[in-house]
Amino acid sequence: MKRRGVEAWAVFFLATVLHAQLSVPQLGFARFADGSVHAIQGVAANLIVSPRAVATANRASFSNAGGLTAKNGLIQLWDASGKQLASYQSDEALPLVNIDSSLQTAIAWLPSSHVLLTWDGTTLVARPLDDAGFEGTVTFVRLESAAIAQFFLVQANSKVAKASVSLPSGRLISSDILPGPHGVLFVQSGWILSQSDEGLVAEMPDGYRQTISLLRNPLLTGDLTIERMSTDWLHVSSQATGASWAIFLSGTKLNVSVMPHTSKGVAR
Amino acid sequence: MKQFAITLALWLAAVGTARAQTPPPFSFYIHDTTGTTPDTPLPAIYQVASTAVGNSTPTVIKMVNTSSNTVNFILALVAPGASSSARNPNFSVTGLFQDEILSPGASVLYVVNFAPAATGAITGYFNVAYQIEQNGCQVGTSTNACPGVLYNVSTFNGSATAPQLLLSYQSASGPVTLLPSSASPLNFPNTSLSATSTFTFTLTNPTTVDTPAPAITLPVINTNAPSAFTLNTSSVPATITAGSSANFTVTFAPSQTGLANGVLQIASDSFPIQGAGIIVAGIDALQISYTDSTGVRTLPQAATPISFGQVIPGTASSAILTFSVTNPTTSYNPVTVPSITVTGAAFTLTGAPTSSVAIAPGNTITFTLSFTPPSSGSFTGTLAIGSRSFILNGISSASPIPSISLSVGAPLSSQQQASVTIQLSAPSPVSAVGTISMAFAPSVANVTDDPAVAFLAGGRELSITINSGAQTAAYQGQTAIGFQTGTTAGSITFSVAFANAAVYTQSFTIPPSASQLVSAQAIRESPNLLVTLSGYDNTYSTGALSFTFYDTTGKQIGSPIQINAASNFQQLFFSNNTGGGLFSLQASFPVSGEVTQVGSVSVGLTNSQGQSTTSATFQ
Repeated sequence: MKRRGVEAWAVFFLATVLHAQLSVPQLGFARFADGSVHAIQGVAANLIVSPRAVATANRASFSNAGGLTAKNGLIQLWDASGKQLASYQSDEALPLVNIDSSLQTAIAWLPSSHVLLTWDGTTLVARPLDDAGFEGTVTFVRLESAAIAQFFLVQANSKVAKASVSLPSGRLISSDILPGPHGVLFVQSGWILSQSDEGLVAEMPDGYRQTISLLRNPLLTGDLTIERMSTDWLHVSSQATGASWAIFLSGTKLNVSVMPHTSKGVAR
Repeated sequence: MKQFAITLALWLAAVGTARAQTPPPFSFYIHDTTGTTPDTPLPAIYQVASTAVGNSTPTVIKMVNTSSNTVNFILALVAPGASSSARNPNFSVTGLFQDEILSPGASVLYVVNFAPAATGAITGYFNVAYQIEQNGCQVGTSTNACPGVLYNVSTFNGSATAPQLLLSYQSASGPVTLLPSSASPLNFPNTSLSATSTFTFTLTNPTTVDTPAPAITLPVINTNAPSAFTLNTSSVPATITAGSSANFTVTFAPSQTGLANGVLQIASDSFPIQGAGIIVAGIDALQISYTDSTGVRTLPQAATPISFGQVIPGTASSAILTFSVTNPTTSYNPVTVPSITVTGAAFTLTGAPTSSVAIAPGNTITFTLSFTPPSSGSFTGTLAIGSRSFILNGISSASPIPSISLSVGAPLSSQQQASVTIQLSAPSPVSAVGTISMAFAPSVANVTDDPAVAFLAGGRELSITINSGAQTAAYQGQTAIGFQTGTTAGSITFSVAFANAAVYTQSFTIPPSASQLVSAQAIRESPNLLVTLSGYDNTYSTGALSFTFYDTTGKQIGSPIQINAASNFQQLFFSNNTGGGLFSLQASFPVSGEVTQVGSVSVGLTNSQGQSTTSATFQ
């Protein structure tokens, strides 16, 4: 059987057609200090910021499948071609938005009203949460599965909790205190990213921890902001210095590049 | 008047005074002694005409006894206060008769003079003192004397301007005083282009106070044309004392025929001047001009030095002017130039005739004059074209910043975020602000740029600083200035510029290399196998692709699939390129059968520098 299979494969391959399959690598979209969102092209250590902004936003998250932006309370879901799929008008000045990969992973957290928004394939559905057992400030939110949202919260004692919430019921399923990181900023590909005085701390699922020294001077508490540029790329920016970085984080690979400033201003 | 003031004070003390603001027995008028204008009542606040320090403005006052009583008019004065009997030094009252007995209806004239001692706004209080016979009192007696009254009539406001100077010049018929902004300019005599005409001007201070010498200039009236006039104020002192004068000269030294205009400016006063250059000697017929390195042509005037601007010493740079000497076709005969010479160590003549040369009508000779100063400083020289001469000048200024070098650490290659450091050979003795710029010259034919080559701070030019004592320059405090090398072979040239220093440039080569594959992804999407590659080719020459498939045991499946993708890459790289040598390639392989039996793929790319390979496991 195996021999027959190999012989068969030898004639199965057809000639490839490369026309229209070559392009400039698209890394994603980054939101800059002035709120402008620019397309980013290139590879690590060779980033090209498109001179023209594609949008303006107060918050943004992009994956390879689409993006979720928030501007003045208006939350919009976009597909990869830039077409708006849905929108939701909230009163939230700075909601948390995240989209890990497919459009179905789009999620937004409205902290003042304790409402989650998820995409049901047609609209952004508002899901009020049961506040019972839900303590702390949410720093990151993602969809763990189609029915469960995962929150990372910083509690009053600076401990970080990971909470799972049922989307259908809006009730807390579980809540665990994380032993390591403080002030979780982002969760990506199993890595947990947080900030320390020395820089950005990236912790792998196996507990291996790596500190990336972004600046010469100690970071100010809460100085770093992380937003997703695409499924595998993050945009990290320092509000104090205006410096920013593009981080590739996938599997066990981590790579940091300095984000070039736009001609209009610094990246943030 | 001081004696009078003392007398007044003693008198007021003897008879007793009342500071009265009730209407006096007088009416006051401003009087025109020529009778041209009728008397006008003196207002409560009277504005005196602006008066230069050292000058005086008179105001004739007519005072009429409008009461039915006899009045002893004691005096009038301008005081520093409304109730003061002291005298304001900026005013005087003349033509006054003391102790004038004025019967009802009688009047008297006198003059209030505004004679300021210093510039600025000045206020004086016009007061009169008198006695009026009423209630049984009598003037001129000591037993039943009428009380004296001091009354404030009006407030005099005056503006004192700077002392006025008179400008004159010596004409053949004697000194002539010039009026500013005259419609008729002062004419210099028609002057040969080989000669000059000089007027001596005199500034006279006719006042009784010293005055600073005013600014005397010949302002530029046409920035594109040198002036035919030159000024010499070396004999003018800083202060022109009262009653004295100072001389200066204006010389008309034309080098072009026709009318030349100018303006002699003395403080805020303008005096138009003009003169005509004419042909007298044969050499005057020659038209002289010069062209600078930018192609701008200038018609020089002997009165204005030919400036070579500012250059940096110790460098190969120099300022060069190309001169043309033309005999116009309107001339009937050749014009002989006996010699063309230049003086001044910093100036060099090139291409000029070394001996006498005759220039025929319609012909032109050209030569260049270069300014290459041996050291810092100001340099002057003279260019003589026969009897026609021109003053030359130039400045050489060197920056004290030590010599500069650049370092980028390890040799550069594509796809780097490197940094450049600006080193000085010694600590800088001064603080300075300059720029660092970068230019990219691709070595790939028909490629002009790579947008990824830029400073990480944005763009290709940054402002940099050097602190006194520092041995490195910095951008916003960072001595390592980050930049990207892009994905195109070529050279990056950095230029560092500070004022008065030669621009320092240093180039770094980014060598061509085999295509670099940064990421590879293999996905089974039955009935296709998708292979996605990202990378760059800094030579823009990728042509051959090779895909070798392996089963899940690692055994090669069939022969490698070879594809010539040169035209595809050429279209990407040379049609609206926005990414330099970057590429993302997605190859789709339709298959029939079970795609899960394919385990991995090895990909090879070949460009002008060789082949690179990568592999990916199917997911």
